[in-house]
Amino acid sequence: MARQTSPMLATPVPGIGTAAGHRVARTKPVAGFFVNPAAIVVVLLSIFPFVLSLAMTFSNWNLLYTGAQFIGLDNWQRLLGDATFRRSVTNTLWMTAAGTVIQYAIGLGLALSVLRIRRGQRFFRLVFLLPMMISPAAVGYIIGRMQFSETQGPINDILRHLELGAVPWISNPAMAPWTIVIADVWQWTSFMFVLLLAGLQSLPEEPFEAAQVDGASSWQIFVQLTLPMLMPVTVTAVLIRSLELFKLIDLVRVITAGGPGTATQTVTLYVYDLALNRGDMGYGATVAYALLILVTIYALIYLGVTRRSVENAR
Amino acid sequence: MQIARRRLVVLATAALLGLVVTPSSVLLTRAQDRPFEGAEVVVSGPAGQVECILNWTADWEEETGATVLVNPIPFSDVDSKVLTATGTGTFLADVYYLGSQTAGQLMGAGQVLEVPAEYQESLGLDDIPEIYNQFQLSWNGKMYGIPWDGDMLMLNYRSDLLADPTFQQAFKEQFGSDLAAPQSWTEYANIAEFFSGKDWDGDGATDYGLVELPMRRNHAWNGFLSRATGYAKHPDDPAFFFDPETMTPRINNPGFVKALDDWTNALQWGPPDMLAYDWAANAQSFIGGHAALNIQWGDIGPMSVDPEASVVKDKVGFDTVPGSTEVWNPATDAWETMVTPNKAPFAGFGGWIYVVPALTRNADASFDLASHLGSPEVRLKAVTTPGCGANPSSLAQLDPAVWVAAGFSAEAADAYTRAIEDSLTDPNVVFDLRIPGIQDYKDSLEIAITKALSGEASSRAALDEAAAEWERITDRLGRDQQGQYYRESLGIAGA
Amino acid sequence: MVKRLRPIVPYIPLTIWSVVILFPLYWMVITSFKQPIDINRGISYVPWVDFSPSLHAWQDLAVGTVPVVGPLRNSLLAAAISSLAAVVLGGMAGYGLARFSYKWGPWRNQEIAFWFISQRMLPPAAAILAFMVMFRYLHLLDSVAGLAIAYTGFNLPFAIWIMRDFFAALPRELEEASLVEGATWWTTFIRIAVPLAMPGLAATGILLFIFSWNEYLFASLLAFESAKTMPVTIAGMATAIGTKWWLMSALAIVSMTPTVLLGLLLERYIVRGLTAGAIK
Repeated sequence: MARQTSPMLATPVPGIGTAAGHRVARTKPVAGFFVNPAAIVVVLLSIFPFVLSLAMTFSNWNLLYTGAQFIGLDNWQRLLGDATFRRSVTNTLWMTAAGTVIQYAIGLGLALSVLRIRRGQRFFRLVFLLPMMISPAAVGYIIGRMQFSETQGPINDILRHLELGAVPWISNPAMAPWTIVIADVWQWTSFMFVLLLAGLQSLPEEPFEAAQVDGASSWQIFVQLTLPMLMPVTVTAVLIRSLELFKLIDLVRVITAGGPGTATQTVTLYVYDLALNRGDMGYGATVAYALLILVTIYALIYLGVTRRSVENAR
Repeated sequence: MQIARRRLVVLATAALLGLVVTPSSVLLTRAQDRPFEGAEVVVSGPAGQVECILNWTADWEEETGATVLVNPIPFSDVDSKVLTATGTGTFLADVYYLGSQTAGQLMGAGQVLEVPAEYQESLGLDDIPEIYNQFQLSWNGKMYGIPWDGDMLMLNYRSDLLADPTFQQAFKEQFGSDLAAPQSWTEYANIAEFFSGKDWDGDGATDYGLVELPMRRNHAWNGFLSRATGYAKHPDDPAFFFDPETMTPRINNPGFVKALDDWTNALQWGPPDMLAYDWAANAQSFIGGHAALNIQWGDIGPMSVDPEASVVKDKVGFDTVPGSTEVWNPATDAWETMVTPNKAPFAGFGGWIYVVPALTRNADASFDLASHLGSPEVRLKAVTTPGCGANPSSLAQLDPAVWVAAGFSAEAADAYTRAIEDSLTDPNVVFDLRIPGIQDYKDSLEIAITKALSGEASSRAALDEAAAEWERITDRLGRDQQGQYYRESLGIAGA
Repeated sequence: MVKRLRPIVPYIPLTIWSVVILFPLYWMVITSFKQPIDINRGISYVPWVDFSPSLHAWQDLAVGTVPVVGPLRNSLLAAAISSLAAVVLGGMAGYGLARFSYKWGPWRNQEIAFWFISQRMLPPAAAILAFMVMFRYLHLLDSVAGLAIAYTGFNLPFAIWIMRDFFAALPRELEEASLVEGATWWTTFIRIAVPLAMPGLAATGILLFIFSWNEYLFASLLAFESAKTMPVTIAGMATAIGTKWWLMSALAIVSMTPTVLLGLLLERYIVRGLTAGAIK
């Protein structure tokens, strides 16, 4: 996007600088009018949970008992020695990374393919939307547990008929995390597909034509033109999806309950167990806050690293 | 003249009083007929089970004038809903249909009301085995729960397969002993090995020797402990989970370790993905005819005779869970060999019961409804209705005639009731753990069990890790206090 | 020869993925016609060949043995209201962040946007208790209104981020012309920016609708009887004494229908909309 000075700034308005070039630097009252309603809603809904959850981390509140005591940093100390927590963090990080990358790759591949076909675009676009629309409980039970059930489900049955051998999808601790990732990819690649397709369709044509005239190969075009120009969409899509994956719980709860052992234990599942199944709100809130800190750091790094490529694309 | 007037006044007053009193006495009678007119009693419980009670509430509603509403909660959310309601003082229901362990936690925290004496009378408590009375319904000597369901793990097996002469001969040749319902875990393993990997029902799919409950958060605890009790519950010792004096966990003593080793070894004769089998998959597998042996609750019995779901009708035998000839004695810190296998029936899960929370809107109506449901008549009907999830909770229900009427063959009814009764009345019976923090203890042990079963750690290492975690939990909750609770739950006085 | 094959090449991944998507859905459909004994007996693929289909699950839904109408209505209301509110408020905020420079103390637009998206970083299980307390105080427990409010809060960050991208990509000439002619920002927003970005707004709307429609945790804990939603009803089919696969499948299919219909209606907007948004 070109940084042109806008005619809107041609008329001098007192107290306004032109440093931010492409934005009108007027902050009251109209600007407030646009952003304040949303901000108010968010503040109202988030301030109390934020503060209460933080306060809980310093207490030993258990849902079973009325009254809680201040216990200082005990919860945080417990966190440092908690092996299940450490394992849940590595699991979550790993599954988030794998899930996001795979969804992005497949979504991009599908979007590129859809743009190249002449007939049936509408069909594919509709079909690819379907998985997102199914309730997570249904995806977990029917697709996660029933489909992947080694002895009672069709996938292994088909594999056996094809002489490829059965796979221990859920019972094997090395395989189980992959099964969760597969289920999540199945459901959410649609999201990537939709956003990337739109992004691709909106790219200007001239650079591509020029490159082809210059004799660049498809691969070169893809790597040096398509991907960089697609960066803004990529950044937003990957950010949103990865933030959701960090909070993965629904699928895991239904398919493996965090097992075998702690092979598929995610942080949010641990929070849920602690806080809501065992009533240990104090420690549960602590684990939740630990995740919040981790995710915030991740998001800051992520946005910092990708800022330049987004700006270049613009 | 004055006397006459006085008499008139008295008469008039009497008449007036009569007029006043009579209508209210009429009202009084009517109120006593329908004491809870207009009241609403909400019963919350796991979806798919709690709706069952509506079979038996119409009469009660007629009699009392109240209305019964049911609030079904998805099974996996029951605990979280009850706990969040309790923690925020929010009304969820007038009566909770709840698992004994969660109910126990509420009892211990003073969040449920004690059952008033007048309601206890109609429950037929004398007929309920002592262990249920003491452990399931009461806490610290006070009764808080209304009986409904009893939970005892038992052995279900394919009687048709074990009675088949061809198999019997082949088995004898292979193992040198007779093919009969296994009494020890060794026999159990042999039978499982014998039947595993073959296709004995000719449907083209491999069948398995056994199917059990090893999934984390889906009864790995019960699956393991129903086996471990044979190895680690010594008949002379009332305690099982902890040393009652020091609260040192026993779960990593050689008895438990051997049990877990043997179980890990036995997995090979079950479906390859048995680690992922939840309760439903387990039941499905057995009544779908895919396994020869099964350790589970008494639900299998009624399910197996349901023609809409079962292919093994009249082919199922029942017995008490096998025991172990090698028993670890914590007192002597050594192994003991028993002549007959040491059986220690495990009342895992403890059963579903009714409790009335402190947040109820109408305690009288709630207890009235709950005690109606908990009466011997209603419980008898519930226990034979498939889909209710109510297992035998009293001795009257263990009359074989009841089960023959429900569709069992005479032989099966006999075996079924005998297995449960023997388990309930066995002096070596172990009731599920019922002290504060049960969920924490449970989860850490289940993690250890599934790690060992999946090969991620050795039984010894996994159980050591769990024991260390148990120590941390005990310390966090207060060792002395936990010790007291544990000793109380065992019924032994302690320091 | 290679050249003739080339048009087919893109169809390969598309077909493969379609099969990947459609097979489990097919499975879900046939499961809704199976009986308990069919499930227990083994794996069956083709109706009438492997098993005899039965309507019992669908009958249960139609007759009301299993509640469907109530949960559907609740889900619809909560999802529709929250996605609409989030699109409106989020659209406005997105426009603001794209066109104005804000300064909240040390925070500028980047930080403000980050603050919005950070709302999605705290695991809901930790926040739920605070919500219960708040809603109890405001008498919003077990109400569709309460859920709608909570979902609006969840959806806003997402709406703001996407709409910010859309509005930022719109060519400014039309807006500038309108302002020069003396129109207010609000009029310019409504008359110029929104119509241009309307398809994008529609697209965001349906995505948010889907998110609200499928939300589980808050629906399960903040609603009790009257405000029960579809996802919770579906999960209720997994009982302690066995999963009722047939009912669950039927319910899941019913639950998909409104979103699929909405998707069909707005589908051309979704793609064109995100296109017109010209996310660069």
